[in-house]
This record gives sequence, structure tokens and C-alpha cells, in this order.
Amino acid sequence: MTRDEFLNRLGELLACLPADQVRETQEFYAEAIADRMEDGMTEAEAVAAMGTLGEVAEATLDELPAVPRAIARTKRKSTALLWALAIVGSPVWIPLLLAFVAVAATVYICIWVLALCVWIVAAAFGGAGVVGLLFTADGIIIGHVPYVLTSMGMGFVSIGVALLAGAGAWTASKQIACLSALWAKKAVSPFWKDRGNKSRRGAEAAPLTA
Amino acid sequence: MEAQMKRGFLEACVLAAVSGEESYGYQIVKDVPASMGLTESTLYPLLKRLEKAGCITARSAEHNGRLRRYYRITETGHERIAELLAEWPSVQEIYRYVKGAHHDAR
Repeated sequence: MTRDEFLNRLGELLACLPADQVRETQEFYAEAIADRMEDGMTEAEAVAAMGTLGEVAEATLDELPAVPRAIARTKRKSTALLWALAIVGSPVWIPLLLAFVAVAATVYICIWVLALCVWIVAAAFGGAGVVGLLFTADGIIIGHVPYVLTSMGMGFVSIGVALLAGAGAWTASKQIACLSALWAKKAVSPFWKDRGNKSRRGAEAAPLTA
Repeated sequence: MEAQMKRGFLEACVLAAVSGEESYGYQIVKDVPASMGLTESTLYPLLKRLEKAGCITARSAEHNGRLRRYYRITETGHERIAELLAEWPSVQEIYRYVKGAHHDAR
């Protein structure tokens, strides 16, 4: 097989992928074949060293998340088969997909409702503290010292608890934000793979001469 | 070699291959120990994964009238190698345990 035949056939096998991804893959293998030929191999030997077309295509498709990979593999076999499966299987996969979305959204909402609950508790204590201080003012107006002291004490204690609960709620919210992000990532993982968990700093270096 | 373990070793080998001077696909295949059985079809997805994770950077440069893609390790990549090396004592411990148990059973 010649280099061009290999690359064209590879392009056909990966036709289910976006065009720029196919081109990038072809460029990688074109470079690898050219490097092996520079190293003294014949064109046929260099092409053979890449492995079978099936292996090469499978290795590229393996990087896709579960759902797009299954679609790509079916589409690779036959586009008609993909449509047939999509239509015939729709009574199964559409309700399953809707259930999946509903469960994912519900868990996400529940996570944030937890955070909201902690904030409501903090706000309730804060409100109680303010009311306690208002009662203190009333006590001062009517000149009832024990009532003033009790109200002031309850007011300050409530405000103190509100501040503590607020600090806890803030910490909990940050933790819950991380948890919800983790859940969102897990929920979309069958459809979208993000192995790049670190920043892409310097992903494109400045061109240099070879 | 067990697939998951091999994947970890391959990742470390490829990072090591680009940790000195920048390197390119075929050179990496030649540099990585033959026992790993690294081929272009294994290397390509691995490079994409490492690039996406910020462990390596890539650039295209002209070579003999054509473009060649060069890869270089980043600080994140060095950290990944350090993490993999830090796991080595526990791998050795498991090896000693399995070997000892296997030997005692015979």
C-alpha cells in the first residue's frame, strides 16, 4: 500500500470525526511515514510499520467518550445502520436519555439545595439576632433591666451563631461548588471526555526553526 | 503487561522521551524501550492526551521541505513524572509480596 492510499483510506475510516481532527490524524501518520522513509525504509515498509488501518482507526476512536465512540463505530460500519438503530431503538434510548438527564439535573439541584439550607439557617439566626436587639431597644424604652439583658444576650448569641453558621455556609458552598462541578463532569463523561484536567498553559509554543 | 499498568508506564516513557530536548513522533517511538511495544498508533492518542492535559507542548517546524511536529515537556509533565516515580516504592512492595507469596506456594 502506498502512503497516499493509506492516508486516504484512513480518512475514510475516520470520516465520522470532525474534518480538522481527521486532517490532523492524517498529518501525524504522513509525518511518521516520511520519517521512516528518511530512516531508510521503503514506502511500503514505512506504511506497514504503522500497523493495519483497522488498528490505527480503532486507536484514534478509542479516545472518544463512550457515546460518541459507539456512534462513530456504528457509523463507520454503515451510516444506514446507524440511522436504522437510532430509529428502531428510539423507544428505548429516548426515555433512557431523558431519565439520565432528569437524574443528573435532580442530583445537581439537590446538591445546591443543601447549600441553600445552610444559608437559610444562618439567615434565620441573623434575623433572630436583629429581633433580639430590637427587643432590647424596647426594653430600654420601658426601662425593664432584666428584659433588656435577656433580649440583648439572646440577640448577641443569635448573631454570633449566625456569623458562625455563615462562615460554615460559605465553606460548605465552596465544597458544594467543587462537588457539583465534579458531578457535572461525571454526568457528561459518557458524551464528552476531558482528560486534560490541567490548564493548557503553553499549548502552542512559539514557532522556532528546526 | 496489564493494560492499565502499561498505559501508566507508556505515559511515563513518552514524557521522559520529551523531557530533555524536544522530540518528534518517530524519534519518540525509537527512544522508548522496545519492550513497551510503542507504535505510532499507540503514540498518537497518547500525545494528544498529554497535550490536552498540559503535560507537553507541541509546535510545527519545517524539516526537509515538510512540516514536522515537535513535542516538549512542560512543568505539569515534570510533575506527572515525579508522581509516577513516587509510586515506584509501592509497586516494588507489591512485586516483593506477589513474588514471595508465589515462591512460598511452590
